Formats: sequence, structure tokens, C-alpha cells
Amino acid sequence: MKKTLLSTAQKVAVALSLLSCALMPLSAISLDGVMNEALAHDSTLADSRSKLEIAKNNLFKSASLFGTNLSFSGSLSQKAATASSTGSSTAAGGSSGNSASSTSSSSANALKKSVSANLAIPLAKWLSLGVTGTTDASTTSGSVSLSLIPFAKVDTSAEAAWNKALVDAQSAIRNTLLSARKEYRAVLTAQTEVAWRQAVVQTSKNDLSRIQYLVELGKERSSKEITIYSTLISAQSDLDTAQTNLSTAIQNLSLRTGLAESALTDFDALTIVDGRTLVDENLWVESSADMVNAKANLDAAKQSKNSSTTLPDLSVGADVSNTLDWSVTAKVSFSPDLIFQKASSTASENLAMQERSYANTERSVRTAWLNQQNAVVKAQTNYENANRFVESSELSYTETDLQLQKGEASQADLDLANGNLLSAKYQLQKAIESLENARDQLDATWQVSMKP
Amino acid sequence: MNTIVNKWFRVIKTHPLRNILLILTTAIGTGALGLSMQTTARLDRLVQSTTGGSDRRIVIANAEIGVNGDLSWTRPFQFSAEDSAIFTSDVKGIKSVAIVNQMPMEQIKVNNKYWKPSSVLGTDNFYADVMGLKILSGSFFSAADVTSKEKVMVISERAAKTLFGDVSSAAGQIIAVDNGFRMPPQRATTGTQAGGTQAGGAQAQSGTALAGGRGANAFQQMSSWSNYKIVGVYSDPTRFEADNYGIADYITPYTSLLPTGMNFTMPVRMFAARISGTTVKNIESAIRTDLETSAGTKIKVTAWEGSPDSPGVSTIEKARQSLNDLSLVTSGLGFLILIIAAFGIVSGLLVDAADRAKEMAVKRAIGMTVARGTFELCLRSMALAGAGGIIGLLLATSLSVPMREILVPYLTALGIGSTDLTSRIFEIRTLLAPIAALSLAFVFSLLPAAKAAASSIVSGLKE
Repeated sequence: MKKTLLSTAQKVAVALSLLSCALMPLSAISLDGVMNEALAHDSTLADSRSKLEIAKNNLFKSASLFGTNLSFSGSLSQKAATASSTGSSTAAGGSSGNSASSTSSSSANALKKSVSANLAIPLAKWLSLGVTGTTDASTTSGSVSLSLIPFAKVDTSAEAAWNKALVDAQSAIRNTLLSARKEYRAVLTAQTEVAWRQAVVQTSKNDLSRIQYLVELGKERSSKEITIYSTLISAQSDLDTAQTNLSTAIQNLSLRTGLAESALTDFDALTIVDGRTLVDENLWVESSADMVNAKANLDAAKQSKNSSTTLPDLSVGADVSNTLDWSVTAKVSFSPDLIFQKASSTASENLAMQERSYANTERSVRTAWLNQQNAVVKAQTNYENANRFVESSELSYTETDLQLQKGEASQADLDLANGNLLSAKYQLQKAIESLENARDQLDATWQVSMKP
Repeated sequence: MNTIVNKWFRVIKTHPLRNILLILTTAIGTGALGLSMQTTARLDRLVQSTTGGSDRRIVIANAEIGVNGDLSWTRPFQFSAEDSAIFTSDVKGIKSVAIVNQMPMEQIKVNNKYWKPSSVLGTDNFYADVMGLKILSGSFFSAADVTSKEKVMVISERAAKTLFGDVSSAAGQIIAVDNGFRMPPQRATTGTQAGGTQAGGAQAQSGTALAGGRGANAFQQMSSWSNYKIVGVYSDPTRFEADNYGIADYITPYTSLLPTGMNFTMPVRMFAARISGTTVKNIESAIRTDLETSAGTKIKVTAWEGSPDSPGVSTIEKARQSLNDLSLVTSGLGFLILIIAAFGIVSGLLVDAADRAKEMAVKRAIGMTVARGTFELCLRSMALAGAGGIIGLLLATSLSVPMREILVPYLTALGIGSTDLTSRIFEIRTLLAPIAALSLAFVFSLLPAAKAAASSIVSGLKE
């Protein structure tokens, strides 16, 4: 039955997938659509989510109260001799968890039953409460105990792990988004390149055909034909490379978004996004995942240093029974490190390392910001040049077209102008890709930062 | 706990001015609803105490109401003392029945002081059940007292305080009662004996002195004085209740007028009854049918809710309706204000959702579900509503006393005295106001929050 259900579900999923694939070409794929799909399907991000969930679970488990433990124990005993006794004890959870139950009797052959329950509640790392109750057929006894450990070390590793997982998850979101945007643009650029290379191949084929005709007429030498043939082979090779690049880009995008490759054919045109808010240096540093992690490590090292001084182990306990019997116990123990303070020394060294690491990270992050700024400036210059190149190529193509109509230029000249124009467009596309990729890095929109 | 408080402060700090205004709006709405709840609780208690809540206390008379509003009695009376038991067992809706008779009582004397009794009633041992009287001291007189025509009396708390200073010392005291019966003296020449040895010499002397007059006819008529023993003191009902149901300050067995040895059955012409789950008219019809079936003749029966002294007049129904209307209006107004406040909270939520679009988008990208996002946004609204609710609750509690004073003129117009309106600093029902604020905030926020939480992640990140 389960198998049938699964099978039906799979069929429905496949049908929906096919349907979506069939419908997909009807509308062009937008950049936002690609990003949404990437967020939903990117495996790296999914891993980050899982790690975050694990860290969250660990954080929850690390809470003092999670150590609460309730245990029950029961015993049956029978004496063979004139006097006997049985006892059972259990200790569970928390520093104060203890329980004991015992029955005794002087009469032989009497079956004794006893049940005991123990509840240990660690209220904090330094304070825990224990409740114990025991009952047999005739008596019930119980006690409440409180245990205090003033110098108990607080374990913040789960919290630190949660913070790190959160930062990593945010970083993964940013990487996913920027990668998806980059791959989307890469596909568009590759498509443009393929169009250009196809035009170059076509031009070379036309040239070859024309030269072959002239060679037959004896108006051109065969060496020219060889040269053109070589050009054709080279153009074909470039086209193959471009097609491979396009295929790779589509595969990457498909892998990132979970969309079928066949669906990744029609895209919105790539444009320059106006009105972007680019981050300044301080915001760049503040939202850098590396910096956040370095800061967290530094804070942890500082905290560790502050609490690393070895102190005497001191514990105080108080116990009150149902018969109002009470006891108070205190225990103090000393370790050699109380004198040598090696743990403190180690923590100091760790702190020094983290401080250096933090300074280095800050330097590299600031350098990255400068590099990114330079990359944007360069990409902007390239874009402007490419734009001018396209404008010139378009002019050149128009002029050549007019000359062809007047008989002052040949079809070969027009093909060449067309090739140049497509090349310019490819260069422009590439410049746009570089510029947008560089600006994406600095765009405040994609600076994913959230307080835990 | 610390985490919750910190989160709460973080909510406030995001837009302090806007959030404080929202909290104040909610506080006013909650305060208004709290006050109305408080008022409703008081009024409900007033309705409960003055009109018996869902129970009704009616008078059943062996008469018809004439055109002038007076009762036209049937003579001889067709009711009997046994009818009370028959009504209780046969007529559906009647919980208990007591015989009521008007008792003559011209004056009373306590510790050599004469008093004019405010109101007197003769009845039987069921009257306390019918009227729901709470006995503070002693007990209500028994069936045996009624049968044996004992001269015992149950008095009200205020009568006890007036006559004896306090309630506790009243039980067991003797009140000399002048029933107003005038009888010829046994020996007109002496003039020293009162009307019967039972009254005692002192009373007789006084009675003679009081009623004897002057001149030749000075001792031709003598007052009929009797000693009544106080067996119980009952807690004062509200004045409204006492006036409208004719609950007298002095209640005696209706047979006590007769001398103990006299073999005479007191006529019965009226009953007081406590009914539940039916109408007065139904009871009237049922009793008439029951009596006519058993007697085989036409029986005059009239029943009304109110006092034996005011036949057919029921101000209680009007008061009950007015109090219920007042409760409804105050609750409705408070609720309306709270709904307006809830709209404010929702508008705040929308702004908040827009402000937090990026944060929500990031959270959703790292695995938060739409339901969780919706809950988180709603929680923010509820934090504001909760703060407003607590302030509103404090506001309502602090305005408890002034609100009571505001109500008094309205109640006076209904014939209810200010003392009838009980006052408590804190009414449990007031807690409904912050609960309503929280619920409204949650319900009103749910859809906008769900819409905001379900929006596209990328669109959210672009905000």
C-alpha cells in the first residue's frame, strides 16, 4: 500500500515536473525567479539550514533545565534468614540527583516491595534541586536537596556554535544569491558569444565559398583558400568552445536552481541595474561573515580568559527530609593549577592569537573592499568602452550596409561588419556581466546580516 | 523570562514613538472594556441580588385586579394553607411557596422606647427560601412555630441595629408589639390591667397610659400588647429588593396574631413563590387550572412579580431590562474601542512587516516556515497588545471607584439606591479585557501577517 502511494506520489511529481517544463518556455526566466529557485534548491544552503537546525537543537539541549531527570526504581525482596536487608540506589541527572530506597525486616519469608522516585532539576549550572521519594507497603519517606556550586564553569560552546551556524547560514544565502545571479549572467553572456561565434563561422564559410570560386576562376591563389579555410576551422573551434561554455553555464544554473536544462533557454535580457545602494567600507566590514566569526572567536577567547583562573572547587549542599531531618554539606578541593595557573596562561595565549587573527581578518576584509571598489571602477570603464565599441560597430555596420546598396562595398564587407558588431555586443555583454557581478558584491541589498 | 522581557523591549525599541502610541491606544481600549466589564459585573451582581437572577419572586393572590388597580378579593377565600405544598409539587417551575399575610402592628416597644415599625409581614417558615434571606443570627422560625401560633419574630439587620445596637445581641430579645386591636377592659374601674396577662404588667401599664386617653373614657379601651421573641436576624437585602418585593423588617408567623389556645384557622389569601424557568402568566394559568380542577368551581387567581402591597405592578422587570441594557451598552462601547485599537495594531503590524521584510526573508531563507513567520509577526502585535492590556487593566482597576459614582445617578433613576451597588476594587471579569485585547490582536493580525510572511524571499531581501 505504501509502495503504491509512493509510486502515485512520484507519478504526480513527475507529471507536475513535465507540466512545468512544458509551460516554462512560455515565459522568459527572470533573475528574481532564478534566485528564488536557487534559494529553494541550492544544496549548500540546504546543508547550512541543517547545520543551523542541529546547532539550535544543541543550544536547546544545553539549557540547564534540559538536564532535568526523572527516574523510578522498584524492588522486590524476600528474606531467607531471620534478618536481612535489601537496598537499592540510583543516581541520575544533575549534580544533586540522588535517591535511595531501602526496606528491612526481621521476619522471614515476608515479601517486601518498595518503589522510589527521584527528580533532579538543574536550575542553573551552579544550582540544582533534587527531590526523592520512597514508599513501601507501610511507610513513605522523601527528601528535598539543594546543591550549590559557586565557581561552576559556564559552557557557552553551544551558543557559540549556534551563532557561528547562523553566520554561516547567512553567508550561504549571500553566496547562493550571488552565485545564481552570476550564473544567470554567465548563461546570457555565453549565449551572446555563441551568436557571435556562429556569425563568425558563417562569415568564414561565406569567405571560403567566395575564395574557392575565385580560385576556380584563377583570380585568387590557392594559398588564400587555405588561409580562409584555416580561419574557418579556428572559428568553428571557437564556436564549439562557446557552445561548450554555454552548455556548462546552463548546467551550473540548472544545478543551482533545480530547473531542467531544457527549460533554461529563454531569459530576460541583461541590463544595468540603476539606483543600487553600494555599501561603504564600514558596513562592508560589519556585514562580513569573516569579521563576524573573527569577532565571535575573539569574544569567546576573552570570556575564556576571564573565567580561566583556577579557583578552588567549592560545592555546598542542603538536604531536608519529610521528617524534617536536615543536613548541610560543604566540599572544597584544590588542584595544583591553583598555584601554577597554567589554564589561565593558555587562555591568555589563545586570546593573543585571536586578537592577531582578528586584526588580520579586518585587514584582509578592508583590502577586499578596496579590491572590490577597484573592480567596480575597472568594470565600469570596460563597460563604457564596450558601449562605445558597440555604438561604433553599429555605425560601421550601417555605413557598410549603405555602401553595399550603392555597390561600393561587398557582402563580405557587410559580413565582416556584422561580425564586428556581434563581437562588440559580446564584449558589451561581458562588460555588463563583470560590472554587475562586481556591483553585486558591494550591493547593500545582498548584504545579508541578521542578529541572532 | 529574561529572554521574553528582552524581546519585548526590543519590540518597543524598534519604533518607540509609534509603539508607545499603539500601546496607549490599546490601553485606552482595554481600559474602557475593563471598566465596562467591571460595570457589567456590578450590574449583573445587582440584577442577581435584587431580582434573584434567573429566579423570580412572585405574589399569587386569590383575587382579580380591578379596573382601578385594586385587588378584588373572593370571599370567602378559596386558598388554603395546604395549597402551598400542592403548588410546589404540582406546578412546574415553582421552587418554593410561602403564605403571606399583612400583619397589623401599630407600634413596638423595646427597652422602654416606642417605635413605629416600618414594615411587618406575616408568613410561614418557607418565606426565607422564597426570598433568599440569609440568616445572620439565630434562625428563621420553624413550621412548629407557625402551627403552634408562637409569638416569635425574625427581624432585619437594620432593624436589629436600630433597636439593639448590633445584630448579635438581638436574638433572644423580646419586643412588645401593639397590634392595634382595641378591646373593652375587663374592669373599667381599676384601669391597671392590660389587655391580657400574657403581655405582662409593665406593658399593660404602658398600653393603658398610651391608649387610655383622658377624662371619663380614659380606660374604656385598652391596647392589645403581646410579647414577641426575636428568634433570628436576617441580612439586609438591597433597598430595591426590599421595597419591590415587600420584604418587611419584621416577619412573624402569620398565625401569631391568634392566641395559642384559639382553635381558629387563619384565612389564606396570598402566597409568595419563587419560580424558575417559566413565566408569571404560565404560573398563574397553571395554578388556576390546578385549583379549578380540584375544586370544580371558578377560582380567582392573580400573580405578579413584586410586592404584595402593589398588585400587578412590576418595576422589577423594567429594572432588570434597564440593567441588562446598560450592561450591554457599556460592554459594546468598550469592545468597539478595543476593535478600533486592534485596527491600530494591525496598521502597526503592516508597517512592522514592511520594516522587517528583509529580516523575515533572511529567516525564511534559512529555514523558517511561513507559519512560523506568521506567528512571529503576530507575536509582535500581541506583545504590544499585551502591554496595552496590562496598562488598561491597571487603568480600569484604578478607575473602579469613580466609575461606581458615575453609575449611581442612573441607578437612582431606576429606583435603586447607591448602597445597593456593591463595590469591589478588582473584578475577576476585568481580566477578560486584556484577554480580549490579545485575542483581537492575534485574530486581526493573522491574515496580514500570513500575507507578509508568505511573500517572495527575493522581494523581501530587496526591501
